[in-house]
Amino acid sequence: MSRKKYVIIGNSYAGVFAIENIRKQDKEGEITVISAEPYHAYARAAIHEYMDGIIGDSQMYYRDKHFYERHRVKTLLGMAVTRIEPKENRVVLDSGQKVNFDRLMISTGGIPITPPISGSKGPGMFTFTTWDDAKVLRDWIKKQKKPRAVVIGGGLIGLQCAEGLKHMGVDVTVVELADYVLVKALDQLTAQRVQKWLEDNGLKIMTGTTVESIIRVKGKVTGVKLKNGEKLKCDTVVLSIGVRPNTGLLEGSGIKINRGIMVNNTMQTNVEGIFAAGDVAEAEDFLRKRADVIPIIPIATMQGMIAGSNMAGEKKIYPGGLPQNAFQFFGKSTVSIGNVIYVDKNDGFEEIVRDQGDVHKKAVLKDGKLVGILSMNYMTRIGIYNSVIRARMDVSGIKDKLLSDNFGFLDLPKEFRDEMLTKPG
Amino acid sequence: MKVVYPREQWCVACNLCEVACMTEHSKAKDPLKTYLLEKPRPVSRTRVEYKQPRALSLMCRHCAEAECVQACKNGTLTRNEKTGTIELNQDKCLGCWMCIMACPYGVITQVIRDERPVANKCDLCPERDVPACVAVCPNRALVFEDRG
Repeated sequence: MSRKKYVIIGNSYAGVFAIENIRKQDKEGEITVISAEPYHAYARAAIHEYMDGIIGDSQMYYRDKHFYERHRVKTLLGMAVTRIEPKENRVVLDSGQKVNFDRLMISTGGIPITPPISGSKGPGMFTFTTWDDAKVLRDWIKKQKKPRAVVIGGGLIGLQCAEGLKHMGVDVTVVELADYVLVKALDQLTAQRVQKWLEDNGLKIMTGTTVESIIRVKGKVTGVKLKNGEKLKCDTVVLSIGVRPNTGLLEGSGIKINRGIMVNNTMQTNVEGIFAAGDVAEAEDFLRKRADVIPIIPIATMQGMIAGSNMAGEKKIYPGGLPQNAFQFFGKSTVSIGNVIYVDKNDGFEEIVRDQGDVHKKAVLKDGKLVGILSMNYMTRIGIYNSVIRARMDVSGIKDKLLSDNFGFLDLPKEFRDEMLTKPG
Repeated sequence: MKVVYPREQWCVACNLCEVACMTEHSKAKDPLKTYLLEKPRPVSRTRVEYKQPRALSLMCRHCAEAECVQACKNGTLTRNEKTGTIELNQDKCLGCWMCIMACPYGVITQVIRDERPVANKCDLCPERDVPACVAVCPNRALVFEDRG
């Protein structure tokens, strides 16, 4: 049998996990990874820390420098795929080069949403999702005499960018359309606390409004005009209202797209032999049991692992993605797992809250089962809740213990403990 | 591969495993000197959970499909392809705590290293044949075994 040809488009979290898992099964096949970016896989989620100089190149690379060599991967970096031709089993690059495959994985990630805002064309306007974005923004800021930035969007990317800019001495204002920041990750109370902490550390945050136009004088950004009529002076605008699946190259391929690329529980698309994973894929949500795009690292890597294994001939089933995020701003941490936002009693939801000094914890139960955890300033053993949610365990009998600081395996049923602790992980 | 398993029916929460772990990961390699003099004081990578009458000591399981590795944003956590051990490179750690969130066993902790908070966990005592916690346990409440 001839050697199988694997092609992976996109060289980030999902791509790396696919490579590692293909190689586990198939020592002979040819693996090619194609990426529009010129870099070895890097920590996309750390670009704000790179921008402000907290970390250097060595902390940015996701794998060691011999990673591709060791896994015998051919890299086509700095090359964009312009077209996928499933019938011919090949992809076409911008150079015109054609690359054949037996198995293809699309992990092209997300791209920033850039709505048409008057005055947004021209210098002084930035997005913030790639390493190059961070380098370009850093260099721009260094050239400003008294840099002042407006960040449009108070989601995770916007706030991390804002923190990075603040560390660089920039006067930063974040403008968020919703009534509070981090609307997708946190409930209102926690978000407002995070917001206060950000403000205490010198960020200005305006909520309930957005930027209507960018004001330019002789082409140079001098400020923004908000929907509420207010004007803010600035020389730099960062657009970070969100990302969407990067599906442009699929046009005409026949691969089905809803919000993201639709995949089944083996991460395969509607076209046999073609898989998708990561921020571009739309797969089962563990809690809601319907397909969704959940753009977070643990889901991208797990999907990459499942896709890679199945591409190499192993049978692996995706258990569904559980939304979760941990982040820290100015040294304070918050973690959110599962559903912490929808808590309608009429729908069977129940909320348990524990506030103690700086620590704020919240558990969300649905029909007695744990479905969400939120914790601010307390991280110890927080992952155990991940197991409890995954086990769809009824916790209505241990509600009083659930949020205590010494909550642990001994509060959980013996059978669960035996299953977890006496077998290999 | 061999990892450390707790046997809760034998654990009496004597906490010797925690002391042994601290000492093993200290400069002085002596419990008293470690505890009194070393700054920052080494932190145990196993944790005894005690709720009368039950107790158990728990540390990293070096999972086959490790969720900490999947969650780590910059490759601080990786699998050693030769030994199977999950390794944590503290020089690289950014302290984002994605691993703490993801670990289903809750065994990754925060420590201060070079005045910076970083993640910390069991390394299976690479310089020993049997991890220090297992060697010291008087009741065989921790065992070092390959359970497939």
